[in-house]
Amino acid sequence: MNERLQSIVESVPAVTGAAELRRLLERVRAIYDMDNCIYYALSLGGPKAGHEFGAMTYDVAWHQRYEDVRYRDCDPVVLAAAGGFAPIDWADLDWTGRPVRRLLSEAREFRVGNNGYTIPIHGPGGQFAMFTISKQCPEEEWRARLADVAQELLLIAHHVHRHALEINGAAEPMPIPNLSPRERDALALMAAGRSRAQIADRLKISESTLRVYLDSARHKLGGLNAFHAVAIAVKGGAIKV
Amino acid sequence: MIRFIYGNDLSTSPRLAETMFRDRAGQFRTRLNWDVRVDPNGWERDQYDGPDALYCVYVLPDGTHGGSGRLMPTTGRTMLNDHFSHLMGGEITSPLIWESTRFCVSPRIAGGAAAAARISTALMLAGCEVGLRFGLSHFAAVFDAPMRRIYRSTGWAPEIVAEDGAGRDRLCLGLWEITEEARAAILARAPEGLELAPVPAPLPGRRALTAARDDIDRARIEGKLRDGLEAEAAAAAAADAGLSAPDARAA
Repeated sequence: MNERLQSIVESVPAVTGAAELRRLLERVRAIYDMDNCIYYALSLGGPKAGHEFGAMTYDVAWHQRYEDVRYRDCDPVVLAAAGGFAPIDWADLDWTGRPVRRLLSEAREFRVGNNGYTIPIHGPGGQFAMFTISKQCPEEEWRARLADVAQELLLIAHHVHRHALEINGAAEPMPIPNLSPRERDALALMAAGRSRAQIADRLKISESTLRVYLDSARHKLGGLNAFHAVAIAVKGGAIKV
Repeated sequence: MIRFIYGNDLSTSPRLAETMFRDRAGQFRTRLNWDVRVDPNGWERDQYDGPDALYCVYVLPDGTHGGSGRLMPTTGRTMLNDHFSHLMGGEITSPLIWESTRFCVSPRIAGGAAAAARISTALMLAGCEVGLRFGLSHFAAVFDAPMRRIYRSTGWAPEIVAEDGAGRDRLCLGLWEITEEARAAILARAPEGLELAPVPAPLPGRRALTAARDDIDRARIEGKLRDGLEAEAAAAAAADAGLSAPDARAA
């Protein structure tokens, strides 16, 4: 099990509001050696459509300035994230135009970081949130680092988002997870302490396909990794050990 | 040339959109005889061709459609879960897994099988590259049995995890593992003359950005309106309570 993820898993349940969320983001920032980390929902969706919630590790003065000038209305990151579901490397965005250039130069003063990566999250009822990391470093270093952490960030982004919906009363009532027979089998064998190779062998599938079953089960159960999912499934009675 | 384009932006490339939907009609209705809807303009479109769909398109030098696939994250609505969940005995949902549908090479292209193989390979390579970039683990797709040979020939074969039916019409649910090795395997098999320009980032274009801005504004206004109504209702309730309290005392 990945220690970086494990450390985040353990910190998420303690988040009950924006202040604790900020501490969690500071933890993510430290663990992944970034300069900044932000989770921000512009709309929690459903009964909380239009309600915002989030936290960031930026200098408070920068957030204040950003809101005062209403940079969010022209921020290419916000617009690109709102317009699609694919993650965004800030370097790929169009940073031309007067207000945008001013945003960029002020962000530099507040040490936002010259590189950034934003994962958009869209859900039913206009739900829209962003999970962002940024760092001041050479481009080469940034690319290598991103390749190393992109998958974990995707998991953390969706996990934090789900938790944010829950603590804000915006989560759809969590249906009893509809695990497929294969997902159930895979989790049960994992709970019984079998290795991935043994489970794949037993279920007559490749380890790659096993990953799909485990990951889909993980997501349905709201876990951050397979072990976490097993724990939730056992606790909730979805599988018997 | 590979282009990623969101459904919202298709109207800014009308020629590309038109040839893509017509080619899909040629592929899925005429050639494969699938039960798909073709509109009076000869376009094959379904409910998943919405503003959020992400198309990976091979654009021919004349600006028309050479081939494409439609990508969606399995955390949202997918064909896989709406129509084919019986194949797996349940749904597949994860931010690490995206579905690919309507994989198609234009029946109009010149150059026969060799040209078709080039386009298929370029599309698979583009898919693999964005998957790697975004930290995805797998693509999932449902396809007809004869497609297996085409996928295999691109150097990136899916693992078939479920099948339904028999013969040419047999439906397969395949999974592609997204790895550096898969990317290397596609490149190793890539045919001569494959245009390997850098794969562009999937970003929303002008239309999608405008729509995004409108959506944000609408949500904000609706939220404010609802908050206002709730506050009014709360004030009214408080006023009612205030009125009824003396009555209660009097009684």
